[in-house]
Amino acid sequence: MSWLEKHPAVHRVLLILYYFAIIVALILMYGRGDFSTQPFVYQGF
Amino acid sequence: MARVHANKEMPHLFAGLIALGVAGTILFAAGMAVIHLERSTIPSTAPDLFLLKNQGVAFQRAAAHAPNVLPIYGSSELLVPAAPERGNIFFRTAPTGFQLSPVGGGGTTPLIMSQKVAALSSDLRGKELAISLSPGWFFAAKPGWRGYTGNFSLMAASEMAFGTALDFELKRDIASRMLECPSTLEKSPLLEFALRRLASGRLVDRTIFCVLWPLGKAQTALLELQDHRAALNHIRREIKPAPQRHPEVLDWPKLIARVEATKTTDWAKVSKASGLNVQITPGSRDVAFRNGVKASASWADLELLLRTLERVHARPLILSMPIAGDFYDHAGVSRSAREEYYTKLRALVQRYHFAVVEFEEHDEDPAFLIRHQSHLTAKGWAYYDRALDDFFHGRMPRS
Repeated sequence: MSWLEKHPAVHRVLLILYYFAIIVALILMYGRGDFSTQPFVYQGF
Repeated sequence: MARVHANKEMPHLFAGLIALGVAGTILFAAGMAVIHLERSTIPSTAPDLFLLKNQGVAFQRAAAHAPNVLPIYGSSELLVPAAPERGNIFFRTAPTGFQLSPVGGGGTTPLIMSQKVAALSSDLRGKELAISLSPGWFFAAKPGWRGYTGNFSLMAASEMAFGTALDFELKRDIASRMLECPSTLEKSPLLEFALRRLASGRLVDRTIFCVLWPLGKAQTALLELQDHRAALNHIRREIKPAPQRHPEVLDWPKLIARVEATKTTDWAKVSKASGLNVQITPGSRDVAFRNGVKASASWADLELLLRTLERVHARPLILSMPIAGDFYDHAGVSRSAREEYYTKLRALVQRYHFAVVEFEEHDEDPAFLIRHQSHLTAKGWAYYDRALDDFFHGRMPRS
């Protein structure tokens, strides 16, 4: 029996933190929006 | 008992759900905090015009919520000249109790504005705002799409399509026009698919759209999240100190007289440079001009904008710069032909019972516009400012 199996509460907390880290990583990766526009130079000035 | 069982049997699912719940709660709280920040910093951001304000919705929404901010949607005229009379500079210190919040860039079209207004939807209910039109849009039967693509906002388009502010008929008409420029939708196959369903108007397509709707809302929520994150970065890094409020009693006739006396037009220089000293028979191009005004697709786009404004219960002032009459006189387009534009504009806007000021009496005033473009001079802006001030304070806007 491993140490984690002997401490189920710690196991659960670690699992939650693991999934939380995945969600945070996803937010960091895809949370930055692309607000650029298609190349366009206004020539009316 | 069931919870304990799930916890033991499916530890990964349980942990994933808890993590998702915690992340969702944190995101929600952070979102609320950022919205509060966007609203509390509006005195700083309202007078400025920057890419994120145009392409996102967060700063526009904050301006719509502020009672002492008047949003103005327009195009390149909002960017020039760098004179103190330009609206956002003139009203920066809220001399009469409000600031002007410009939204738009070079080449912005009424179709772009429709999407932005639809995106704000209920935030504009009962809100006063101004729309600035360029007459040049309405002279060409088929205006190009370059300005549209250069100002297209995926965020505003998604909010329009998946929002609940507009009815299916209005969404169908806007979607049909948007699909004429497919290059703007390349980044979002979901939005393009949804617009095609909306544009078809058939029952089966509406049903497919309704099935897709949760996915569209999820995409919009993600875009909103990105918008708030970008807004937070902007506030942290690029925000300027809020201007000190400086209440004044404005003497408009005096102010306009001062601008008229100090600013001179460069019309003579320009007319030489543009080769307009070549004599063209007066009125010889009236027919072509009238045909252009009659057939321009921009009228349909303007009507979409007016329908959207009506649908979201906004209270708009429609401003139009005058036509550069001196230039058109030289170019063979008579005053009576130009009258078609003013008459058609008034008739269309009045159908929706919105206030309209088209500055027709300045049609042949060479000091009102920069060269013959739809860009106001300092004098032109002084008249615009007066109309905006009148409108905000519930007076009949003067031209």
